[in-house]
Amino acid sequence: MKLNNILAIIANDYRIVRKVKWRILEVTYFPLSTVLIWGLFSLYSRAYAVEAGLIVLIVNLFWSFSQLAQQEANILIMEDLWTSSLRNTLTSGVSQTEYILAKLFMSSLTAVVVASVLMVIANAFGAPLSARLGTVVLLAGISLLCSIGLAVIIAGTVVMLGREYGFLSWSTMQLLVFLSAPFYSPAILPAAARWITEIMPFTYVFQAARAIATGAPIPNGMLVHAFVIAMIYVVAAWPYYFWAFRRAKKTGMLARIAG
Amino acid sequence: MHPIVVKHVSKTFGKGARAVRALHDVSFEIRDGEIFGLLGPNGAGKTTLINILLDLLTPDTGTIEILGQRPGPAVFSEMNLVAGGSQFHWALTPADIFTFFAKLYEIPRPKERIAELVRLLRIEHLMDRKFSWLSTGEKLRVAFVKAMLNKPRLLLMDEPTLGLDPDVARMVRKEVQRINREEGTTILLTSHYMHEVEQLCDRIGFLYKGEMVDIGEVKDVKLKHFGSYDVILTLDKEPSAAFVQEHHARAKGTKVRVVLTTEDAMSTLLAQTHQAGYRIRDIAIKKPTLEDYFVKVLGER
Repeated sequence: MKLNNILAIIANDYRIVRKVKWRILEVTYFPLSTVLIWGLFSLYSRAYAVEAGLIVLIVNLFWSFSQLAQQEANILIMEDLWTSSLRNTLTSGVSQTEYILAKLFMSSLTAVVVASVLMVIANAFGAPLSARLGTVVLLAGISLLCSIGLAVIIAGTVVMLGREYGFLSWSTMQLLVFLSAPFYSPAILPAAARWITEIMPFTYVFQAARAIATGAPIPNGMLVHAFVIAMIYVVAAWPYYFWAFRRAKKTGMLARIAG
Repeated sequence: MHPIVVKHVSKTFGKGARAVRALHDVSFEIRDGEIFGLLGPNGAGKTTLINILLDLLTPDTGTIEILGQRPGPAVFSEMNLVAGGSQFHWALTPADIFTFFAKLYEIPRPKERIAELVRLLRIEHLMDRKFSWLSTGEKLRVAFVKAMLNKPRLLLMDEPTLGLDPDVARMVRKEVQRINREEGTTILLTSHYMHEVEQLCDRIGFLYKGEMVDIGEVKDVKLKHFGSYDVILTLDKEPSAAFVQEHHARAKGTKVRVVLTTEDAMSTLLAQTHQAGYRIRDIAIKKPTLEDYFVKVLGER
């Protein structure tokens, strides 16, 4: 693996993000507006002595961060497919691993920078994040692992099935968040549906986020559970990615989508 | 060591009744320093073969060696690709594109190398323009600079002059000849323009329905299918019937059309014409072109 190739792709992606206006908008405006809307809602709801506003704000913060980390990596890949420039990159001595690692690094970096700004704003709205900074950072790390796992799985799926599956880049997270019980405890779900939330990557992260909002203690077991689930996604994602790449080379899909 | 060695490569897409055989038991090698033309009608398997060489497609059977190695990232740093309609991100400028690829290829003193190639291809004025604003010819010149950044030992050129204006296509051909001659780059070229292949290539391979049906030097493959060529002599006077009969020729006025089968027969014909007391005012040689060959091979099949 060559660090030079990874850095070259990151620098190139940075140039692209800087030059494509809607990408800047996507990376900054949507997460920012989310935190502002729910920050204002938390102020409003506090007048009624309701903690729901803070719960929604903090869960949304983690949601935005996780979505950005995953979506950005997959959209960077989609950019290469939409512009048919993947062929030139993959035939210039870049391995599949270097390629995806560069995309993941770029998206993680973007997500961390944007989320840091969002955190400061959320804190200003009264979210008790700075008071439990260690836990917040730990949860962010776990969320990032989950997002990386998802991004790798989605990348493999798009390479294997083709450009028209690019919609997974921005819709998968929505589906998983819905199944991860973001604003409520999984306990309120019917028993038959609970097992789904238990295997979702973000269930425990959101659970811990709600605990931060309400000031409740976060059991270590919950964090360990969240970490284990995240690791399962990350570890399972890589063999799937390589298998999908091999399959795309066999069926001709890679040649077709590369440009 | 041959830069490209292809052995018994086959590739079929799909299964059962829907299966499409793209390549069948294709074997050939490309020799060091040559320009090899890969010909064939649409759907013959040329693009499939190029994709296999680029490791974007896995063959069902057979082996490929590029510069002594299996196709993959390790060997790609020593070769390069230029394709007609070559694409880069629309928002990037040629300067961005060259910086990116110079970094990937780890070019020592990249600024100097880029400046040298940009001067050579005369695109200094395009360096800060977005790729999407460039014309087809300008885009190809950008692809060409990118392809030469790493001084490749092997260059794959897939329809490089497709859709280009004649003057730009001529410049590209000149450049292909220059890098082959001066830098010793081995070149694999696919093209639909037969005159281009005839002008540039040392040898050709003809793919048809996934099979390599012909391979060899251009003049040899043509000779194999045509076996003869016409010589039209314009004489100072009308030829005698005996002269026409002796050479199995056809005459019209002072013009005589003679069919020859070997290169040596030409000097014999000229000597005999002189001995018969004729002075030759003009000679025209009508050899079959590669296009004639292409049409004939397709017709035979």
